[in-house]
Amino acid sequence: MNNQVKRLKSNLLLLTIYIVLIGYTIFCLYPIYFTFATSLQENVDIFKIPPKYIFNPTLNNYFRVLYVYGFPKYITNSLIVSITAVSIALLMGIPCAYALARYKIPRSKDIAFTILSFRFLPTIAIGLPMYILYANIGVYDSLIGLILIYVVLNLPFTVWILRGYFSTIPKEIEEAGQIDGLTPMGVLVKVTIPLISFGIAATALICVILTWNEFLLALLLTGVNARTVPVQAMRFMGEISLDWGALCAAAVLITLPVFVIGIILRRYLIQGLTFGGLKG
Amino acid sequence: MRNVKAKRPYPLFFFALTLLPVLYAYIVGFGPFLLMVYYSLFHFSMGHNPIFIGILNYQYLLTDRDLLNSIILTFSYMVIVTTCELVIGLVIGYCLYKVRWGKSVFTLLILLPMIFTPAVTGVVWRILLDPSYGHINFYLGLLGVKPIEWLTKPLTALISMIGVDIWQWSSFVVLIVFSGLSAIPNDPIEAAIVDGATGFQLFREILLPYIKPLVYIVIFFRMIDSFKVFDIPYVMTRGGPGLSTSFVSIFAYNTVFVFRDIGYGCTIGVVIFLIAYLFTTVLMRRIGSIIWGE
Repeated sequence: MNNQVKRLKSNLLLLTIYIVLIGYTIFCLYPIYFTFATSLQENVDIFKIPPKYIFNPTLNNYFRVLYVYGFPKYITNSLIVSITAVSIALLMGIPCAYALARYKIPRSKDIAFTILSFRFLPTIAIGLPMYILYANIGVYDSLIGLILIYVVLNLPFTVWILRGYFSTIPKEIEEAGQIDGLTPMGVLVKVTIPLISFGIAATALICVILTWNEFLLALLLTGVNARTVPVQAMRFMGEISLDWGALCAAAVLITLPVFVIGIILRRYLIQGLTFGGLKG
Repeated sequence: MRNVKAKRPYPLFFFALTLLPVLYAYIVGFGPFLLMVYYSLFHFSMGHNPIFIGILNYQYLLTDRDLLNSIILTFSYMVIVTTCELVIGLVIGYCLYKVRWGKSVFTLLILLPMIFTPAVTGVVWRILLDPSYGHINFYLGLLGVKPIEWLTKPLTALISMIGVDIWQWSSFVVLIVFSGLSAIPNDPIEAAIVDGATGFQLFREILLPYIKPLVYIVIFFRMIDSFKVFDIPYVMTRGGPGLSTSFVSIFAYNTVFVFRDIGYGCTIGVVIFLIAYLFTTVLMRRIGSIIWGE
C-alpha cells in the first residue's frame, strides 16, 4: 500500500513538472509564434479580435519588406559588419588565446581578465564618445566604423572560449609537430588549429549572433548608409507603425538566421555566453 | 636533455601576440572614454562649440534629482529582474533536469527567447502590448480584466520592461541551471539513494552544493548585463512615459540626443562608467574566482 502511494505521489510530481515545463515553453514560444504567424497574415486579419488562428497565409508582407521598404540593404550591412568584425576578432584572438593557454606569459591572468572586462563595460560609455569622435573624423555612418568597435566586443569571447579549447589539446601532439621541425607558430597553424577547428567555428558563429543582435552602438554610430538590421527594425516601427504584418515579416527575417545558428550550436551557447565559465 | 614542460621557448613573440588584443581594445574601446572625460569638462550643446567650464557639470550632477532617480530605478530593476529570473530559472531548470523524455525538445524551444534580437523583442512586445489590438489585453479580457494601457502609464510601463526582460533572459538562467545540474556526476546521487535518502534529503545534501556556484554565475552575469539595459526600453518607450523607464543608459542617451547637451551627457557617461566599474570589480572579486576558478 505504501509503495502504491509513493508511486502515485511521484507520478503526480512528474505530471506537475511536465505541466510546469509545458507552460513555460508556451510562455517562451508565444511571442515567437505570434511573430511568425503575423508575418504571414494580411493586415485585415491581424487586427481582428479575437485573433484568427487559422488563416490563409500570404507572402505579401515579405514582398513589401524586401522590395518596397528596401530591407535587403540593411541585411547586407549586418552581414558584412558581423562577419568582418568576428573574423578580425578571431585573427587577433586565436594567437592570444593560444599563448595564454600554452605559455607561461607574465601576468597572463591580468591580461585575460582585462580583455574580459571590455565586455562588462556599459556600452553607452564607449558609444557616446565614439559618436562624437566618428562625427569629427568622418567615419560616422560607415561600416568600417562599426566593425572597428565591434571587434572590441568580440575579443573577450574569442580569447576566453578559445583559451579553454586550446588548453584541452595534449602537449604531446604539439611536441610531435615540433620534432618534425615546425616553428611554434607553425605548430599552432598546422597542428593545433585544425584540431579545434570545430570549436573555432562554433565560437565564431556565436559571436556572429551577438554582433548581429547588437543595437546601441549601431544606433549611435550609423545613419542611413551603414544602418544594421536591429536599428532598422526600430525605425520601421516608427515609419510603418500600423503595418504589423510587414513589421513581423522584418522581425522574422532578422531573427531567422540567428535562430538557425542558435539551434545548430545550442550545445555551445551557454559555454559561449558565460565565457567558458560553464561547460555547456 | 629536452625540457618537456609547459613553458616553451620564444615567449617574447607570443607575449607580443597576447598584448595585441589588449592594446587594440584599450585604444579603440578605452580611448574614447578618455575623450568623454575630456568633453565632460565642457558646456557642449549640439551644434555649438564647446565651452570649457571645468567641473561645473559634475557639480550640477550632484544635485540632479532625475539622474539619482534613474540610478535608483536601474538598480531596483537589476535586483528585481535578477531575482525573478533566478527563481524561475531554478524551478524550470530543475524541472528540465528531472524529466526523462523531451529534454532536447524543451531545451531547443526554451533557448529561443534569449537569442531573439533584443531590439526585435521590443518591437514584437510593443505590438503584443497594444491596448486595443494586442494579444495580451485580449487574453486578459477573457479573464475579465479591462484593457490596460501598458506603455503609456508609468507603473505599467515599468512592469512591462521587467516582464519583457524576464521573458528574454529567464531562459538563460534555465539553461545554466540545467547544464550545471546535468554535469553532476551520478555516483554520489546513486550512493545516497542506496543509503535510503529521501527526495528532499537528496536535494538538500547532494544538489544544493552544486547549485550554489550556478546561482553565483547567474547573479554575476545578469546583474552586469541588466545594468546596461537599453535596447528593449528604448525601442518600446524611449524612456517614457516621463522618466519612468529611463534607466541610466537611456537617460544618458536622451541627455545627448533629446536635450542636445553633449557635455552633460558625457558627464553622466563618466559617472555611469565609474558606477559600473565599481560594482563589477566587487562582483569580480567575490564571484569571479568561483566562476572561473582562478
